[in-house]
Amino acid sequence: MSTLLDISDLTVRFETRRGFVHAVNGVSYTLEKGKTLGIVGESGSGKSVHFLAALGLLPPTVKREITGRVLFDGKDLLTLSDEELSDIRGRDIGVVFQDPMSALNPVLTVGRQLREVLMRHQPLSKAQAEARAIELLDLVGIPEPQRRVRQYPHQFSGGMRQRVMIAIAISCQPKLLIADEATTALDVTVQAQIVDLIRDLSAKMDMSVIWITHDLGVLAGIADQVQVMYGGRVMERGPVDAIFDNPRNAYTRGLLNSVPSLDENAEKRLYQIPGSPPDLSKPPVGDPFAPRNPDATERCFAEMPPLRAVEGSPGHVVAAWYELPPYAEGSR
Amino acid sequence: MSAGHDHLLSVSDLTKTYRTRGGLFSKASDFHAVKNVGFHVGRNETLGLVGESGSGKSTIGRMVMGLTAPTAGQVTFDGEDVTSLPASRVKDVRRKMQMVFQDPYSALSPRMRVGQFVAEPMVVHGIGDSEADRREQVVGLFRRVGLNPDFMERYPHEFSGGQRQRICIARALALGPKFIVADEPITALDVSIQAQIVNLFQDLQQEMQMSYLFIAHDLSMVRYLCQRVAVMLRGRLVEIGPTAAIFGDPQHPYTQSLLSAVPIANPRLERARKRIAYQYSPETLGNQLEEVSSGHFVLK
Repeated sequence: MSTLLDISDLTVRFETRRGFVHAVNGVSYTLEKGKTLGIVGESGSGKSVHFLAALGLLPPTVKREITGRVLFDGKDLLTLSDEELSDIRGRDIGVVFQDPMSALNPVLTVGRQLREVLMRHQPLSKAQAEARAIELLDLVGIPEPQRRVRQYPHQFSGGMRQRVMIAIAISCQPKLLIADEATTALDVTVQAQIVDLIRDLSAKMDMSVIWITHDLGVLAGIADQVQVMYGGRVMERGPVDAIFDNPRNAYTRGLLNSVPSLDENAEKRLYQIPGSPPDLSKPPVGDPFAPRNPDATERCFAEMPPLRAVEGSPGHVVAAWYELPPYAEGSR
Repeated sequence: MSAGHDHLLSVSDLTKTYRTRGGLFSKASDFHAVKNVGFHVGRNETLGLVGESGSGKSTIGRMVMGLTAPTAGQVTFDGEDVTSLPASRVKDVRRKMQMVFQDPYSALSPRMRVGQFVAEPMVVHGIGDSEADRREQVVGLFRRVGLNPDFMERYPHEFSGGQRQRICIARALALGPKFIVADEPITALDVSIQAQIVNLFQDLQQEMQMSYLFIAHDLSMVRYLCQRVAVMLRGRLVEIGPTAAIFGDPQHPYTQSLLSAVPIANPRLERARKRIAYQYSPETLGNQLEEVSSGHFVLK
């Protein structure tokens, strides 16, 4: 097993008129080749911003400060020039965003947009690129690729457009695919197809995947590892079964409990996490979830807990000063 | 199927047809956004309306509210046909039915203090004797939806998504409605906030004897919140029945496919989940609603 991505102490601050916004605060993790890491979190958790910062994809007008190290295939992405980074994006790292309509150019055919990426990164003639574009549309399950390749984005349904985005993202056989809320805007039946597609492609191409979402159900099926983020920090990480069976962080547990389980109905009140997410322009000194955690200790408010190993659960780490009682799904 | 009962809302043969314009090479044709849909919502009941985008669920919500005129069909609310109301009655009926939308960001007016926003329906309907009286009522509404009344003088940008949705709900409650159409009311909210809003809907129902038409695509929430569920496909109602029957014994092939696609937040069950494919065709869609068990109807 070899490490493809090794992020250490990644920190992102935005400078705004109202002061600094501490969007990502010392995030570290690694990803092995061919594995899928699910990242779960809500708005403001840093789940998207941290990778946008690492790949140089933050809007140029935003004043930011990025520190730390992002080793991808042995190179630190944070030290690369724009030119070098853009060689890596699209070739070695593909990204699929939530909204395919705004990611695609409406006035160019789908084939042209695929060809552009292919010819930017590979020595292909126009005809070769066109042939490859048709192959790719076929690979992602778009019927009649010869005809579809000459069509414009508006002629595709939402699910088909997202398939086009995936075709573009995997066109150069990337080592890493990042899916950022890639199925959130899709209907549940289409979501299931896209999840299957990415799982199959990952196995076929030995491609690593970072799947970013707020939907725990999707991660349960696709992730090898799950990482829970909150307030720009990693709160918990571990093998998918360990996270769902034995969450050790109060936020993880709250998230799992607030999703109605299959046998629940409204006679039982849904568990709700009190309060609202932190304001990152005034970052808390301690555990960012402490104000919403009924079991928080004095220390939680005073000091950020470091990630520590969970005893008896290999590969499972948690940021918590407290010990939660044993978790039983039935006893919610 | 609803004759003789004292339902709060009943809808029959509801149809919305859009005529697409013909072009140089194409003929004008009719697109049925909603076709022959009938259902009822009982007092103090929540009916879930599910289906994929474009299936017509929001159009139904809008026709029920009178925001979109139906091409054909009837909407009866509290014994009155609201599709053919005399103008003098419209305002009265509107008081009793309200709507909550998906996006609490665009639903609020950015330049209006939120207290004023909540009070506005009362001003329009001439409720409350004075400004002070209405203010008093807004304080009560804020408390009821779990907001601090001290926030009344603030502007929308100072609130989070969940708080904004609470403000929208407070406004919807201002006229003391009996019925709320909630169109994807939690979809735009963070997961940790969704449960708060769902619980609020539950509490309000118990306190105020409210009925809801809950339009959503999150089936686990629908299962949790609704007593009955209606499933839409391409403008048609394909299945409707008690929640336990729909989820436990889905009959229409589309409902079966839809339910089999819902991810389960449990790795072992999720990995073992078998999906059922559904291929749309006029034959698989069916023609006529048939009752398969008590209150459970399937398009066959």
